Amino acid sequence: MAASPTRIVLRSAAFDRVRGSGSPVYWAAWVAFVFILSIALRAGAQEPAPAPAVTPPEALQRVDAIYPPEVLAARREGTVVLFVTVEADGSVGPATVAESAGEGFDEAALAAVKQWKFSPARRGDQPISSRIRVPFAFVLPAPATEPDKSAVVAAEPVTPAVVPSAAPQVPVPVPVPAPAPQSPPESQPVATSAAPTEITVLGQVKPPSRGTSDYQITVGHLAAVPGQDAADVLKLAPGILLTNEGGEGHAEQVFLRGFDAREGQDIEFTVDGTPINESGNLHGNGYADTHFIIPELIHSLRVVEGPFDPRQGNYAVAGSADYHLELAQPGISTKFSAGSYGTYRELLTYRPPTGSPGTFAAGELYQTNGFGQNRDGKRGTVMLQYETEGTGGTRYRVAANAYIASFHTAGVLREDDYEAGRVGFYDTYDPLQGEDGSRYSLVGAVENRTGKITTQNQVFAIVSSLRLREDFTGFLLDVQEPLQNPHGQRGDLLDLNNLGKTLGVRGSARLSETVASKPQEIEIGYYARGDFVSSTQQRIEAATGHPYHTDTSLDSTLGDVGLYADANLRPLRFLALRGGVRGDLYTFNVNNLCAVQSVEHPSQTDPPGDQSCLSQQNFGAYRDPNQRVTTVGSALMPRASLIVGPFFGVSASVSAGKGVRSIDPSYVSQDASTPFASIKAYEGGVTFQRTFSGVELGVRSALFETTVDRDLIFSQTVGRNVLGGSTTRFGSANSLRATGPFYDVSTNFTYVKATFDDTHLLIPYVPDLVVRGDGALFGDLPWFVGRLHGRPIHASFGAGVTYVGPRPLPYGSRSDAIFTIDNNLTVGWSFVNVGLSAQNLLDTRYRLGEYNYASDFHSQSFPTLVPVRHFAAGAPRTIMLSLTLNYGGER
Amino acid sequence: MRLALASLVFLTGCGGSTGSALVTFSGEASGPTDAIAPLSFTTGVGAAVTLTAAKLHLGAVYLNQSVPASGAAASPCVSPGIYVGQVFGPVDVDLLSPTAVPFPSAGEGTETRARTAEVWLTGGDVNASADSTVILDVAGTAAQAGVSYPFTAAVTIGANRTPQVTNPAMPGASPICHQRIVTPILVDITPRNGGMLELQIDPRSMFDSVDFSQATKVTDEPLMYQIPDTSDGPGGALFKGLTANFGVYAFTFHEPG
Repeated sequence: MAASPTRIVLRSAAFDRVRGSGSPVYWAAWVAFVFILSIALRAGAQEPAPAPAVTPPEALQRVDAIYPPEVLAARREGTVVLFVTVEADGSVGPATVAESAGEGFDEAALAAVKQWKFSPARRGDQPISSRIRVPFAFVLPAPATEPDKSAVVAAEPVTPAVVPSAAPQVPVPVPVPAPAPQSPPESQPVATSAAPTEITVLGQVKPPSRGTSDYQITVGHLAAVPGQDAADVLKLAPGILLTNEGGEGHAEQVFLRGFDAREGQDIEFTVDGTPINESGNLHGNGYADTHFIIPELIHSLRVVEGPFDPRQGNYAVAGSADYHLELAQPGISTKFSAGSYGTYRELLTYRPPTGSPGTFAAGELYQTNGFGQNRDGKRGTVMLQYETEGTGGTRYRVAANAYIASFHTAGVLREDDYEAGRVGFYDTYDPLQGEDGSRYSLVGAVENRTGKITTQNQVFAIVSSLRLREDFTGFLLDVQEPLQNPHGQRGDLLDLNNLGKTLGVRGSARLSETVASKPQEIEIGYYARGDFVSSTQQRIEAATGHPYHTDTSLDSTLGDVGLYADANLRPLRFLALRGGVRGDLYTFNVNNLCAVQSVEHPSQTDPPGDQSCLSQQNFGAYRDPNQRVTTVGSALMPRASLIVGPFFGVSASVSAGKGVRSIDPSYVSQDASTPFASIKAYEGGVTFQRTFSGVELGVRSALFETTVDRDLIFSQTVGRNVLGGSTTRFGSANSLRATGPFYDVSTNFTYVKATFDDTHLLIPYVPDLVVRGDGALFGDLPWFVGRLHGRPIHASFGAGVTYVGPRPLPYGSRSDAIFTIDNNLTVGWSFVNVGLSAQNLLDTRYRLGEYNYASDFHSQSFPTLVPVRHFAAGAPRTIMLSLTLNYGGER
Repeated sequence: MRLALASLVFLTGCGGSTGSALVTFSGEASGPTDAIAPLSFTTGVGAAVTLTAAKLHLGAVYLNQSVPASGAAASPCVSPGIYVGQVFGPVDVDLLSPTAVPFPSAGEGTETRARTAEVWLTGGDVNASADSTVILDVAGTAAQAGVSYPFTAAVTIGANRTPQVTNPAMPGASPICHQRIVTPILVDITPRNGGMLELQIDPRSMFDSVDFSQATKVTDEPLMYQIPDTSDGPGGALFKGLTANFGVYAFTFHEPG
């Protein structure tokens, strides 16, 4: 464990020394070095490492699960996998659902396992608590012996995989107790394959589903689909489009269900509960850059499209997305990728061979020259997480993250300049555009189960910085003010700097009780967060690179305290009522350091001239240039979902909820109250979830409507969203996922009509049709090529297809449609894995973002002042070759 | 068929609009409809003028949405966000001919109602302190108070038009660009795609305040006067006429087809 971070640091230093010169040779040498090192390590590993002898727990008394009558009547099958803590005295401690088979099955499995008795795990002679996976396979009997609805059928627990919570240093042999059938012969369950000897996560308790638009997405084999960053994983949820005119490393612009969430300010982003949205960020209140997440660590994602869960807080306007991190591959892994446009990536990961996948260390270094002018970038990331389980059902998690990035961006081009040949498709107007960012975070979380109450508490501290240089308009906005000395257009390059510090806590307590023979839950929770933000935005003179004007300079202290209560009630076996209410109090204390930028009657003896932040009032009277403003606002947000079913795998749900979006500090300076935007969302949907002969099939379809009383619309002139009018979105989201023994397919499409309420005109830039398909084939190769030295050769093929219909643009026009295909092929044997990926396989020259507005880049003989088409180029075909080496992690 | 069409509209996301439209159109400039060489007229001060030559150098033409307000404070030369049409020159227009001269490139804009127009009289950068481009080049004869004044005039807008700073606390209140932009010229135009913007320039009104008796005699034989390229006297009056926002420049938009 200790060796991995050390190697990362050394590598980082070397990386810096060679950047920009001779990189391909260096990288090749480095890959060869690590390859040889891995061979050496493996050779050295023939001697088993000393490790304490750990004896896994042994089941002394097993009780089969009762096949739930309603799902038996529906002839549903499924497999539930439970995490079960076996205490040091052999009793069963907390048990949670690791892999759900749906309602009915989960409860039956939990009820059964609590009746089990064990001989505890031991290290040497010392009894220790441990945690095991216990799968329950609910398999229907043959049709000829189908029982009536009142029949009782047992599901057989299959071989448990054993994981001592005090992680040993070597894999533990797993005993295979023989099943003891206790069911009637006609209902004899069919055993599934033995469980893998995989350590399971000591994870958080998943909140109950809020209906059709609550997407609990496990990446699984779809990790084979090529993606560049954590944001790409979002595409597995329906209706999400990502664009990025900011280039490598800039937060992706997210469109979701008719919302232009910009860089995330309309979506509440979290990673295992830790907030990603940056409150008070001048570029956008709620700016959310997910590049600090190493994509290989993303195990699953919960996307709730709409404000339907009381746990959702600020920014959950279009919805929320919570990343759950795990490292699937145990042992030490090194992955090196190199490909088009001088792109290199190095990933080092480590996970204890028998520890939780929630315990890992990972580091990433990345650099690229970019696919066109001014698109080079570099970033480095380290993510550490340690999970452990103490006595009394208490679990602890500590996570730390450091992320730094620096890159240039190309920005937008005018379509008329491109068509006239004045610029190339991948060119840039302003090479000063770019971004530098960093993020450091420390997180601690504790989960405890005592009796019927589960508590979760989490504390987080985050420091993030962002320097952003963007030029949307060229030489357009530098208006000659009477106070200023005469000047021409000096340039519109924005230089935005933001430094934010965040401290916060969140937690919940959930009471699980059985009432009227049905599980009922009540949860209360809190969320508190303070943000301390310093931000400035200046304009840069193109000729000199000097700042000539300060647009904004703010010191902000933002507070958010939220409380919620949530109930998960099941009055009838087929009816679930989930919902509650959330209240939030937001405070803003903003010191505008540049509050006075003009004076009608300046001093004639000491005029302010070209100064930006003035210290005089009319006729030269002195005043300080700052102005402090404080505001406070509160919101009460009821949210509820009604879920009916399942009937033959079909459930129907209706949901309604209210959300808010707090205000941008720059508007607080203008005496607006906070929160300023209220969201109302409604949804009705149908879900089909069923397993057919080992194939898991899930289909969802939902109709939704969302209204926002004061929306945000992006303005290129100020480089961020500005207040707009009230808006309504109406549409449908649909998804399908089928997971079989050798394939995993996911597809979704969303249609939405987003309009302004007063004019009924479309909201520009929001795509009304988004279609996404992801698929993966995987397995061991057959025949003579399928094995080498007795070990199987496994392969996977992944593909992702995106289609985005023509998007409405301002002035009644539409963008081009987008159609791209991404592919990835990997072949692995033993500890070696080789991958080849191609993004934009067809090498389609497409416009990732298109915009209509006025700009003047001095490309013509006179100022261009009317709106015209602009675009940000999408990436051409990008080929990446990767080599992954793993030591100590064969599974 | 209707179902298929509706499905196509649905799938291609073509339902609804954001309003307005981006348009392109052509542009032409000419003298007045009754222009003829020579052109005779009587000025506001009673001078009988016969123009034998009148050429105007146009930089660019813009249409914008702003409605002029009386008594408004000095506005910047360029106000981003108000423009709905633009046609770029340069174009040299014979003001004594009704024959239209096309602008070299197509105009661009949005299908939005324009209330005012701007004529940019510049050879290049509208903010440049020096510009020797001859904007107006005229020749003719004027008879004023019984005296004949054969004259020429070449108007430039450069350092000779630099406004005086009257308030040292407001050095940017009157930038040079104000001298080069003729605005607000009242219009009521909504640009349409494929249409044509016509600008007619009437030289007669340019001479309304010109006192030819103060023109500078250049030669006696042949007798020739010159209206000086200055900001005062007859040169200033001619420049004022050249940049008048009423009576000189008339815009018409011709719908496509």
